[in-house]
Amino acid sequence: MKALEIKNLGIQFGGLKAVQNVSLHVNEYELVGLIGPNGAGKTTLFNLITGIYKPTTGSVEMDGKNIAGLSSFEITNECFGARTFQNIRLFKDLSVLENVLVSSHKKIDYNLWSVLFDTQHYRNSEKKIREEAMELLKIFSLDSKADEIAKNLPYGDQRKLEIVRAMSTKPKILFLDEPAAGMNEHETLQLLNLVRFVREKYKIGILVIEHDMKFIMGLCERIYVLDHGQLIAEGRPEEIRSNKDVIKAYLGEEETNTAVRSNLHGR
Amino acid sequence: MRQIKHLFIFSALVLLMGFSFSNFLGIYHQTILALCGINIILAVSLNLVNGFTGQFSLGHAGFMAVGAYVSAALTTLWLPTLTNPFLMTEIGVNLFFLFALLAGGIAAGLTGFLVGVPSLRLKGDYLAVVTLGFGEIIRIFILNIEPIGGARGLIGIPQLSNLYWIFGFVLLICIWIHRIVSSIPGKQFMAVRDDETATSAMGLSTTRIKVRSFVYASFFAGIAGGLFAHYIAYLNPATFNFNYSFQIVAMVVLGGMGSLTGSVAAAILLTGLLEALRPLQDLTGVDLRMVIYALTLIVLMLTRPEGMFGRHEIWEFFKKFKKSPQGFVR
Repeated sequence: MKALEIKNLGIQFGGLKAVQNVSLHVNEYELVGLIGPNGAGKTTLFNLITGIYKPTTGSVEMDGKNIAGLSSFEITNECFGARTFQNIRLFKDLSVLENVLVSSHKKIDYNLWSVLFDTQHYRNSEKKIREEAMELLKIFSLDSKADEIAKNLPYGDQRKLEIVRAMSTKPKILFLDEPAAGMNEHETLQLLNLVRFVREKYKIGILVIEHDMKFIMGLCERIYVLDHGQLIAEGRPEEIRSNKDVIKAYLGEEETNTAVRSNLHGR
Repeated sequence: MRQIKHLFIFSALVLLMGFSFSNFLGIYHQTILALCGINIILAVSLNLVNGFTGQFSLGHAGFMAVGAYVSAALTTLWLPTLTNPFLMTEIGVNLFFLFALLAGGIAAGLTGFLVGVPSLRLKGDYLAVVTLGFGEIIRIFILNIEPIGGARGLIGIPQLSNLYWIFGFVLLICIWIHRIVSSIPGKQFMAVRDDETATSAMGLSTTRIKVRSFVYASFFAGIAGGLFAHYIAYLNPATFNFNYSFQIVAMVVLGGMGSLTGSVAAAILLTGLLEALRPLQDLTGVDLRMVIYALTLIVLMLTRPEGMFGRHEIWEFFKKFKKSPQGFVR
């Protein structure tokens, strides 16, 4: 079964076709990249997949279930897709541990009364949930920072915590929106290992948007290229690197460049 | 076992507070204390919505009015028609009062649910305006119900509330709200405050969380309304106008959005300040109270825009003082 299957997906904002006729898939336990120049519609595609926007055409299936008509939180709960955001969206005034605890709503087996009267059952249950969250932090060696406030973490750790928080929902497919943005080479390398580690440990499919070509070429098994809302190429990293359409989308056409140049220099 | 110990400490504290307040103070100071207590409940419960969940509500007095009128209607109009001899006894009347308070709270909570479901889809300024509107609608609605006095107000409410009741509930509600915000469901409130999109990406329905917080806050405001009605023994719809809602918001903002002890301190400060300034008026012959009240608000907001305690509780400051020799550094 495919972790993600998108067919002829499209969305239109007024007259603007931000994404049109996109079909792609991610297999279970596969690392797939999504690249494209600025404004190509990559994040819009993510927002369509995670239910923030409703598509005008086409369909998205995750874990064999169609996401049509589901809101964002239902997609996380029922289709097991989790995401991170381009500009970090942590719960910045909560501690590292609490950031992970927020998603443990499925494990809560006590009601309001047991909270108000501080029953033994509530205490045990809360303790158990906290221990499980600590274990998850330990896997990603963030346990030593469990009590720190999220906004005080160094940048790299904030990115990492966002991935850990997404993993706490126990997803079957993970969407990473520019995880390496703003990172230096050393941090990018650590992130590369982290993403690989997540895939190996949890055996899940991962779809990554990224601008850092070195990062994406080194990480992904398959890459899709998006330009002006449409897929222009698909293939292994080395295929993408030598693909004419991709080079054109990134660097522009030779003739136009010459035309612009001659125009600038006058007659 | 632990609960029994807590219950014991709780009762001892309530008895001590109630006893000392009602025996060593005159009627005037007792009334101020009672109003302080009621305002503490209102501020702390509104903090749950405005501070912890980050939804700006401006209609809290409306929910207080619902609780006040429902409980007062029960004790004023229904209680005299009951002939059960048990209800003639001291214990019976007080138990009925407790029942009336809870009924008032539940009615306010239900109103909170009905108001919250459509309006909590809005954010920021829009939500503030809508809740303000609903607060006024509730008041106008009560104004037009003849059996509970309409614009003349409801008279002859039995004076069942006293400082024991009020401070019992102040203590109970503060503990309860503290327990709610320390639990994992309470952390979900704060997650909504920090980032709504990310909260729903975690698989949580933000609307449900916001409505839940709104209903809890309305319930506690309803209890405060019931205590108020049976202390003053007279209700008038004009009491619960926009001005009162705004005063509660001022307490929450001044104390610190997301600090329970801050709300308690601000409620005592703002309620006490106006009374404490009365002698000044006798001295100068001019009513300077409102000028000083406004200046206090302005100065506090300029010096500490995040509120007196920010998002911290008072005991956190002591902890940090102990840790660092330089004192508390933000």
